[in-house]
Amino acid sequence: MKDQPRIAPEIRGLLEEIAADPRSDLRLVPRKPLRAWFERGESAPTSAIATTRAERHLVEEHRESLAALLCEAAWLAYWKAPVLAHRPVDAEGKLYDPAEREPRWRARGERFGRTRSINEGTDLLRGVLGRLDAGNAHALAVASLQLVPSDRTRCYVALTIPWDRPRSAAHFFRRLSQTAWPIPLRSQALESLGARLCSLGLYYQAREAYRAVPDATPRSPYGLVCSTTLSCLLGDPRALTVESRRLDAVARSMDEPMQEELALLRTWADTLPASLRTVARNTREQVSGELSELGQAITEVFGT
Amino acid sequence: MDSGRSRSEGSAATWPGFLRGQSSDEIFCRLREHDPLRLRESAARRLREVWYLLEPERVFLRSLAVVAEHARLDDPPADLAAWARSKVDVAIERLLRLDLEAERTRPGVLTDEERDFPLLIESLRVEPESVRRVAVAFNALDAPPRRAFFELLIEGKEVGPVIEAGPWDMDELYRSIHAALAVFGLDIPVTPDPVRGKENA
Repeated sequence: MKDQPRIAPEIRGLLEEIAADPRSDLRLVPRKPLRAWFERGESAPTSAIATTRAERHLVEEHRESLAALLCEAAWLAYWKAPVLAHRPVDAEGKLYDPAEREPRWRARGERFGRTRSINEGTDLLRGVLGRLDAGNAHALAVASLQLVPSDRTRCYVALTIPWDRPRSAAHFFRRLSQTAWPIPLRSQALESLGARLCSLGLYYQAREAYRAVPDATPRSPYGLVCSTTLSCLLGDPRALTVESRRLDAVARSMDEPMQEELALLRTWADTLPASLRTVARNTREQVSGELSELGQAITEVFGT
Repeated sequence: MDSGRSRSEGSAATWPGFLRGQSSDEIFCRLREHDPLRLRESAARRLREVWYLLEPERVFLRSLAVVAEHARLDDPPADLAAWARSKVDVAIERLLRLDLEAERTRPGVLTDEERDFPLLIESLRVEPESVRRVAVAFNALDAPPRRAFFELLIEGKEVGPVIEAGPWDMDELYRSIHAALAVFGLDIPVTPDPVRGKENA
């Protein structure tokens, strides 16, 4: 036992300080490293596992599988008729392709459908395996959430709320932007919150939502793209210049996702009243010499 | 699409015998008895690599369930070991989320399994009723505080080598371990600085 390492004295000193604090939950300071709790090899006796506990994990996992299939179905259904949404990009920079994902989801769903049925969610899954429409998206997300609560699914529930109910969606997204876990979900919630606020004409609030996106995902350019766009729309040349410079630091200029984003912005800008687009064009004129290529391209969504 | 055909078209790999069965229950029982994928060991090791406070036995049981379930749903992978490791990650993610949701919806009400966390109860003397709250708070931390806690307390590494190998200087390591230990109910003064040494006190 002498050879075993001991916790470094500096750290032990800190622990003792913690244990002495009456508010602390720590009541005793460990003297040795705690690695033994994380060193489980083959020697641990399987017979010691409580059977009911083990079986419960399997039942829960079956439920998780169904919830995941319903959630993915909601996501696939959503992308059959997306509303001004940019497709997610994976770690390699590849755009999400629902046409590529749907056959794999369908194969997994059919395999699941052949196993035991646990509730009405299975019937719902079997139904959409036959035909998956955009109109199913919200019901699928809700069914998934009822099976397994998770913030990711809550985001899908909010995302699939029809666009004629923007305040309900904004309420959900605002809450998710503050509490969702894992943290990157918060930036997705903020982007969606911004979009719903824009649909309500609340451009200043929307800009604030977009400006908060980099706090949750510093490398994502989309929040900055949208806040830059809104600064132009709101007649704020100073913010437009500052934000477009910040954007240059994180954006891969004019790659495929960015081109898709600009196309979405053009579609959205075309729906705006002519008076607002005129304001945006005037704002750009004031600072056009200070904008990078990307900043210029963003402001051109309002017309040249 | 015929799923059997899609399996064979998708990859030339096949499932080993112990991952074939009429139901996930059957596969689960087999895995639990022999642990041919060494999931118990993988679960414990992976927790040390990603610095999450979860009871390793619980991660092992959930990993068995994830593997049993996904062996019925997934295409056979080309690299079975890598596939199994990815399922341990799925199990960890599931349990992190379950604990978070449980803490949100029924704070202070713990199941027997949630209460069964010897690392926190026996070694750190956290009250059983508090273990889930402490673990959820710890697991919500950014990676540096979690890593500092694992390397200094779990692995028992010396401060110097931890600074040398990590993404931090001495001040950052101090802030990280401080943040990690704060979830145990601590709000101690900034000085004295135990990592920097007594000369700063």
